[in-house]
Formats: sequence, C-alpha cells, structure tokens
Amino acid sequence: MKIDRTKAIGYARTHWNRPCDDGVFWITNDVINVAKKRVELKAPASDGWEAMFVSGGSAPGSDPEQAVFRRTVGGVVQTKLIQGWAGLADCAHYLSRCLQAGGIDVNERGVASLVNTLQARRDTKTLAEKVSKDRGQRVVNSGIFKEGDMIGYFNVDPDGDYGRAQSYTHSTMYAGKLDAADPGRVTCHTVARFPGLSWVNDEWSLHDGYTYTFIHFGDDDPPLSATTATALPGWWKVVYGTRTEFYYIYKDGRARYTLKAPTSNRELYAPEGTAYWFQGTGTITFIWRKSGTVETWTATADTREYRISVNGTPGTSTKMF
Amino acid sequence: MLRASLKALSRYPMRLRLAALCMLPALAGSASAADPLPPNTLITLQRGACEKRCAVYKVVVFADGTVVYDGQYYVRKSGVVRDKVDVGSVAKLITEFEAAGFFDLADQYGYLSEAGCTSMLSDGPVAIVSVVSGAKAKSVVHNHRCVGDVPAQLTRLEASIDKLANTARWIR
Repeated sequence: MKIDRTKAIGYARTHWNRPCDDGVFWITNDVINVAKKRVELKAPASDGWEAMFVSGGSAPGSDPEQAVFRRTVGGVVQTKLIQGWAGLADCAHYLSRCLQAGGIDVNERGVASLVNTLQARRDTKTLAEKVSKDRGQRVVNSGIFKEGDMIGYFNVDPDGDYGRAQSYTHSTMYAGKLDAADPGRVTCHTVARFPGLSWVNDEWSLHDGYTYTFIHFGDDDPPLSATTATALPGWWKVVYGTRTEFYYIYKDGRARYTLKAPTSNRELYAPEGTAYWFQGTGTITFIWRKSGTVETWTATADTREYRISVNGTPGTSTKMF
Repeated sequence: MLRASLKALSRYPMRLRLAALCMLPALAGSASAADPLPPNTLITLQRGACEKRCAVYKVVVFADGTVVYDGQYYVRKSGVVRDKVDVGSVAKLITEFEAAGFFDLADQYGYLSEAGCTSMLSDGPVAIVSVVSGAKAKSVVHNHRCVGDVPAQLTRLEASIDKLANTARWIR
C-alpha cells in the first residue's frame, strides 16, 4: 500500500506538540494515560485544559521539554505538570501514529525497533545508512527523499543520549523544506518539532553526535519507462575522476558495484556497495547506501551511454553486457 | 567563613543545602593558619539538561575536601552522595581556576547573549560553575551550545571539577 504522505504530515501538523489521538504518550519503560492524568491533576478538558508538550523555559538548566496540561484564563497561561523532561520518550510512538494516519501499519514504541521494522518492510528502501550530516544532506537534496519518509538517528557520541553510543536513539519524519535553500525539516516528539513551529531547531540533522539512516517509502516512486526497463539492466563500466567501477543494475531498482571487471553478463562478484536507482525525466539517480553518494546519469543519444555526475564529479558510463 | 559559605549555598535546593550544611562544622574545625586554602573555599558545578539526555547533577567541593554530589536524572546514581578528596587537590584546582583567569571571566557565555561565541551548536546543556575562595567569588553560566575559546576553557575547568570529584562513577 502506498503511503499517503499528505495524511501522514497532516496528522503530524495536528499532533506535533500534543499527545497522539490514542490518548497516551510514552516515557521510558512506561506509558502515561492522559485521561487518567486529567482526573489525577484535576484538569478536565471541559475547563479548557489541553495536554501539550511545551518548552521547560529558558532558565539555566531548565527542561528541554515538559508534558503539561495548559489553559489560558483571562490572558494568563496556567499549566499543570504531567511529566518533566526526565523519562519522556515518545518519538517512536508518535511516528507510528503519523505513519498509521498515512496508511502504513507500523506500531512501535522503541526507536531501534521502529528503525528495524521500517528497514525490513518490502515497501521501504534504505537509501543511506549511518552516514554523516554532509552525506545525508546530499540524500535530502536528491529529491528522492520525500515528506513522510523517515530518518533514524544513530548515536555516536559516548556522552549523548544517556551514554547509549552506537545505537539508534531518535527518529523523525521528514517534512520538507521551507524554501529551496533550506536544508530540510523534520517532525518528531521528544523534543516536539514541526517545520517552522518548533521552539527548538527542526532542521533534519538536529544536532551533532549522530549518524543518519534515511528510509524511503518507495511504492509511489515513478514507474520505469519501457526504454529504461530494457536498456538499463546489466553491467556498466563507470568512469569518473580517477576511478573506474563496474555496476550491475537490476531491473527492480537495485544496483551493486565492484572494482573488478566482469567477463560476462552474470553477476559474479561480491559487491563493494549497493544502491537504489530512480528514474527521472531524462535522468537516473543512484543513491548508494553505505556512502550516501548521490549519482546522476543523464541520457545521451546512445542508450548505451550516459553522462554522469558522482557527488558533482563528472564522468561517463557505458553499457558492457 | 560560615556566613560566606552559607551565602554561597543559598542558591541551591534544600536537600543539597542540608547535606552541605552537615559538613560546615567539620569545615570550620579544619581551618588553620597552615591551611593553604581559605576556609570558605567552595567549588560548585551544576550541569543542566539537554536534548541528548545529558546527565543532570550538581557537585559541591569544600575546602576540607568534602564532596557532595546530587544526581538528578540521566545519571547512574540519583540523590545525594558524600565523599572526600585530598585537600591538596582542592588547592590545586583553585590554583588552576586562578591561572585560567576564571575570576575575570564574564558572567555568562551563550546564555543571555551570544557574546564570546563564534558559533552556536543546536543542542547542549547549561553548566554553572561557582567558586568562592577567600575574598574572591565568581559564578559563570556556560551554555555548551556556545563554541569559542573561552567556552572551551570553561569546559576544561568543568572537567577538572568532575575529575577531582570523580563524578564519572556516578553519572556513567
């Protein structure tokens, strides 16, 4: 089933700074039921109390975020604390609800399980895995990565995220660019973000200490033209800069490369890297999973040759078999 | 001496103040002419929250080497812990702060303004370092989002307090 990106982002716009419509939010190893908290804290909706995620304030050492009941009476904002920063952990739950709104059946509470589940789905493509911010920006700028696609944040900072280095500790949904020069924004919970509405930075990279995994829902990718489906699959010799590589391109949108020249039209060699490729108007875009390299092939008059650009370095590709 | 220490402690929460006050009689008794440190010497480090779930805790080091740690959240050890370090190490730390010009620094870096910051990171905790020693007293608010030479120096001084108190055993 294709993701309905508009519905997923629409849900995010409504709930980015509020508990999800299932009436709960998650803290470490536990769940908070908002209705029960209303009773406990004497904050009925009928009296105007709204459950929200808000900034903990600007004083030194204040919480980056708190879950509160909030209302405004006579121009004065009143709050009742539901949960302070310590323990808040609602990102995977929130994103599951966003994806469900977009028609994707995902229901995860932990970040690592969300990332693993998404990567294992038949309708997703992991475009790049645990790549740096600079490489990730190329993926975002490729145009292949779209609103509703997902980013996993792999913590590499030994002091970050409670010392959980070398694990997925956060996840977001890509929500597009504010303008052409914008790096791209995300929506998430803990801390709550939505493009242009957040009280913290909502650029997709968030902050240092991460590598990034880009997971793309591929069922709404443009279909292959008959010409491309016939001409592209097989072995290609690719030359750019000082490098010569050999690509084996599959009809289903995958590709692999090796440094050893093939001798027949059979896929013989263990690949150095793998990619997904996407057809555009007169172009083919490859995104290589391990490196985050974005490569564009531009058609020539000869269907057995393309002009290519690998991270901006020009070259050529020639069909071998 | 007692008055100065009490004043310096007044900004901290009650449970930390009570724990620290328990140390004051011993602190007063330890003062002597041979003591290289002013008896009102008090070094405190508070580390605040950040999105990356930084360890939030406070640590106070007294002139007699008493250490009071108060772990709040995202730490291995929550609550108040008391320990003791070598007095000579406290004196060395004060010397390090003096040599670094700590008492002449601005009151904040990257908190109320970006003065002193060459750039700002998108996440980082706020650390507050306060030092009282003799007639000198200084408190600096250091937003770790602030990148610059002085903030880097502050980071090193904060690390020196952590090292002296060996807070790593409680926070990681």
